Amino acid sequence: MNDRIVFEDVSKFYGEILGVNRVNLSILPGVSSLVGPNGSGKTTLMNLMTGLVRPTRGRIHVLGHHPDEPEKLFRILGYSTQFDSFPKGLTGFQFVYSYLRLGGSDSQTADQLAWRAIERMNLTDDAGRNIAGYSKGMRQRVRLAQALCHNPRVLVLDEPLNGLDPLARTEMIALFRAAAADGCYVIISSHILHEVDAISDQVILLSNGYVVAEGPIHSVRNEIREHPAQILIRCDRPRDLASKMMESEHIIEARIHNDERGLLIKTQDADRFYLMLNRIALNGIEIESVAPADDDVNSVYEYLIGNDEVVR
Amino acid sequence: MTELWWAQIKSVIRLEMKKTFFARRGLWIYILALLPLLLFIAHAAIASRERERSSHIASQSEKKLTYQDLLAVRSGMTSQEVIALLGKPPIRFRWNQRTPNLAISAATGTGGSGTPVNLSSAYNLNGIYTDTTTFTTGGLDGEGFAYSSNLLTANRILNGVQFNFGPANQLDAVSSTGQPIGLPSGQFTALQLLATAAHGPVLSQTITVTYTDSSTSTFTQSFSDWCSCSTNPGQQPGESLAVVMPYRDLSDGTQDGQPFNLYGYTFVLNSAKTVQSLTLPNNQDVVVLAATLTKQSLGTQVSLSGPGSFVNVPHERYHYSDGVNDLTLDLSDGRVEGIEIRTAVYSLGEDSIVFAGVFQFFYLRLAIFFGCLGIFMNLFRGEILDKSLHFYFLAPIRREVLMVGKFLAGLLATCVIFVTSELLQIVVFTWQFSPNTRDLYLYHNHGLAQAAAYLGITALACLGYGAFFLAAGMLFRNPILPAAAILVWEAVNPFLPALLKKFSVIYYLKSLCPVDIPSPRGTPPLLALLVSNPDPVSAPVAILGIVIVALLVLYVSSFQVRRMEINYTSE
Repeated sequence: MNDRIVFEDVSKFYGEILGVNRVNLSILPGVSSLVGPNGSGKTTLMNLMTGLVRPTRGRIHVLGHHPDEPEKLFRILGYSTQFDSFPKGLTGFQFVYSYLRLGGSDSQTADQLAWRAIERMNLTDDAGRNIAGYSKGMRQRVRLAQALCHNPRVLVLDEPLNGLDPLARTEMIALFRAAAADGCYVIISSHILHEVDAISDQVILLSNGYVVAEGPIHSVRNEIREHPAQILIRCDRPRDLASKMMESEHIIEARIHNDERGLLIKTQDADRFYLMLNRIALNGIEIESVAPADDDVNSVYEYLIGNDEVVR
Repeated sequence: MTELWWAQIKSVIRLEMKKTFFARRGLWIYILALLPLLLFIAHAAIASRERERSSHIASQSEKKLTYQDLLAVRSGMTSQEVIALLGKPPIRFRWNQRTPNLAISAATGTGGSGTPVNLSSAYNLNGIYTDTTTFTTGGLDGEGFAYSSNLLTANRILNGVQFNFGPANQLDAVSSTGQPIGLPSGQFTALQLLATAAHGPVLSQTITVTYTDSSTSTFTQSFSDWCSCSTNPGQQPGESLAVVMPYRDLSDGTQDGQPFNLYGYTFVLNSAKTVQSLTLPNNQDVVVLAATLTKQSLGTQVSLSGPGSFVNVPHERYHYSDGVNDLTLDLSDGRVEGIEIRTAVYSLGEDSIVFAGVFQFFYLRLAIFFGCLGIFMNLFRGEILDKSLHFYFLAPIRREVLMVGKFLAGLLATCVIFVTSELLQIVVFTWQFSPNTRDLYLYHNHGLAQAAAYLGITALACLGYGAFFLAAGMLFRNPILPAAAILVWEAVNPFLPALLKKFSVIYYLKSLCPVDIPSPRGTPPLLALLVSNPDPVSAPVAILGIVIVALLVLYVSSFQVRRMEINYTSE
C-alpha cells in the first residue's frame, strides 16, 4: 500500500448528486490519465485523492498517507488544480514562494526552490508581475510551478495542458514523462486524447462517476470483445492478401486502401490473425508494416464511452 | 514540531496581513474605527474654541470672577445689582422687543367684579409653587413644572373681573377629567376661565354649563400650550393671553427662563336661567386655575384682553465668564429674566462619562463588533468567495495550524486598527484639558489605569468577537444571520439567566470597563439594565472568562476546519 495510490470502494455524493461511485483503483508509478467526458468524476477523483473533498464512503491512501493529513500528504504530492483563482495581490514568484513557506521551508530554501520551479516553467521574466495580469497560459504554468516546486513524488494535474501553446505542451509532456521515468506518480486528467495517448502508461476511463476501465491502453483494448480489432497492413499485393484472409472465419472485414498498397482488416481474434499473417508472409506476399488501427485511447474511449466531447 | 508550526503560522500571518490591511472591502472597518476619533477631535476643537472664548471674556472682565460669583446671580435682580456683583459685562447686547401689552398689565389684588367660583373641591393638581420650592408632586404637567406664585400672585383682576387662584404649594389647579363642578347659584351673563393646556395645544374640547332646569349651554373651545415657545400661543378662537410670566418653576427649585402663559376664555351664558354646575372637558391636559361668573352686559363672547396693544420693552444680554464657565443673563426692562450657566464642555468628570459611553455603546458594541465581523468572517468565507482557499488547503500544513495562523492574523489586524484608534482617542481626549488637569487626571486620578483598561478591553473584545466570527465564517455561508444572532445575543445579555450570561463576550467586557455610566433619571428599568452592570465579575475572572470562551470557540472550530471541503460551485 505504501508504493501505490489506492482507492477502496470510494464513493462521493454532493448531496444527492453523484460525484464518483464505488471506485476501486490501484495506481502505480508512471503517467496515469483520467479520461472521461465532463461530469464523469475526473476532478472529483483528484480532489478526493488530495483531501479537498472527503469521500462519502470508502478509503483512500496515497503512498500510505491519508488525504486527511495534509501536513504529511502534501510533502510528497503536488496538485495543479483547475481552479483559476489565486490569493489576491501575489506575484508569480510570491505565489510559489509563499506555498513553500507555508510548508515550513526556510526563506533561503523556499527562494531557491521557487526560482527553480519558475525557471522550469519558463516564467522567470514574468515572475515579478502580479498574477492578476497573467495570460491563461501563464496562470497554468504558475500553477504547475507550484505543484512541482517541492519535488513531489506524486503529481496530480487537472487538465495541465489547457491554455498552453504547442511548444509549451511539448515541453510539459516531456517533463511529465521525465518525472514518470524517475519513478514519480503522475496523474493527469485531460480531454485531449491524442496527448493522453502520447504520454500515458495507463488510462482510467470514467463515465458518469464510474470507472469504466483501467490499465495499460493495449490491455484495455484487448478487453473490449464486442468491437473487432482493426489492423492496418501495408503490403505489395493487398488484394491477394485480402482474399486469403477472408478464408478465415474470424476475419469479418477486409478493406483495400485507395493507393492499392494497404489493407484494413477487422478481426474478432487478433492472436489468430497474427499467426495467420505469419503463414501468409511466408507465401511470398511482401509485408511492409503491420499496426493496430484502434489500439489507442481514442478508439477505446469511443468504444466504451461514446464520442461526445472528445477532442482528437 | 512546534518550531515548524510556528514557522507556518508566521507564513499564514504574513499572507493574511497584506490582504486584511489593504482589502478594498475592509475600508468601512477603518471608517468605523476612526468615527469616535473624529468625534473626539471635533469635541476637542470645539472645547478649544470655547476655552479661548471664555478666556477672552474673562480677560475683559472688570474683576476676576469665580464660579461661585456666577452662581450668585438670581432671577429678578436689577442690572445695577448684577453689575455691582460681577462688574460691567465684558459682552453686552441691547435691543427693544415689541411685546403684546396684554394680561401682564392686569392688576394684581382684589376688588374686581364678578362671582369667583370656588374650585377648591375640584383641585387635583399642584400647579402653582413659590419660587425655589422643591417638589415631587409632578407640578402642573406631571413632569415637574409649575407656575410661579411669585409671578402669578393670589389674585388677578382682568378687565375689571376678579380671579382668585388656589394656594401655592398645595393642590391648587383642576386637571380636567370631565368632572362637574358646582357653581354659585344665580343668573349670569358669562363664565370666564383662566386656564391652559399642557403637553401641547388641546383642540376642540367640550365645556358644558348646566342650569337648574337641567338645560345646558355647551361650548367647544381649543386651548394653547402654556409655553410661549409653542405655536401661536393664545391665538385659538375665543382665547386670549391673560397672564404672561417670564419663567416657570422647576421641581428642583430652579426656574425655566422662558415666558409661560395663562389664557383667558369667556363663555356667554343664558342670563335668564340659573346656573347649577360646570362640566369640564374630559382631557387631563386642560388645566383650569380660576373661574368667575360675571353679570356684565355681554351680547357676544368677548376677549378678556381687548384689542391687542404693544409696548417696546428694553432687553439686554450680558455675558460673563470665570475663564472656564460662562454665564449668560437675559434682562427684560432692567431685571434679570433668564439665567444660563454653561459649564465647560471639557469638564473632566462629565467628559470621562461621555468617553465611557462612546466606548461602551458605540466602539465596543458596534465598531469593534462589526469590524471583527468584517475581518474574521472573511478569513475563511472571503477566500471561499474568492475561490482561493484551496491554495492553503493544498499546502503541507495542518488545518488547525492554518486556522490558528489566520485567527492570529485577524487578531493582529483588528488590534492594530482598533487599539491604535482607541489610543488616539485617549490622546485626543486628554489633550483637550489644560496641562494641569491632564496631569491630575493621568497621574492622580486613575487616568493612566483607565487608559490601560480601555486598550486592554479593546484587545480582549477583538479576541472574543474574533473567535466567534471566525467560527461563524466557517459554519455559515451568509454572514448576516450569525452576525445578527450574535448581536442579539450580546444585546439581551443583561436579561439572561446567570449561567447563560457567561457565554458572551460583552458580559466580561462590561465588567472590565473602568467608568460606570449613570442612567439618566427616569430611565425605564429595562433600559437601565443595558447601561448598568448589576453583577460584574472581578477583572481576573473577566479576562480569564473571555480567554476561555475564545479558546472554547476556537477548539470547536478546529473540528470544523478539518471537515471543510473545497466546493466553490455550491457557494
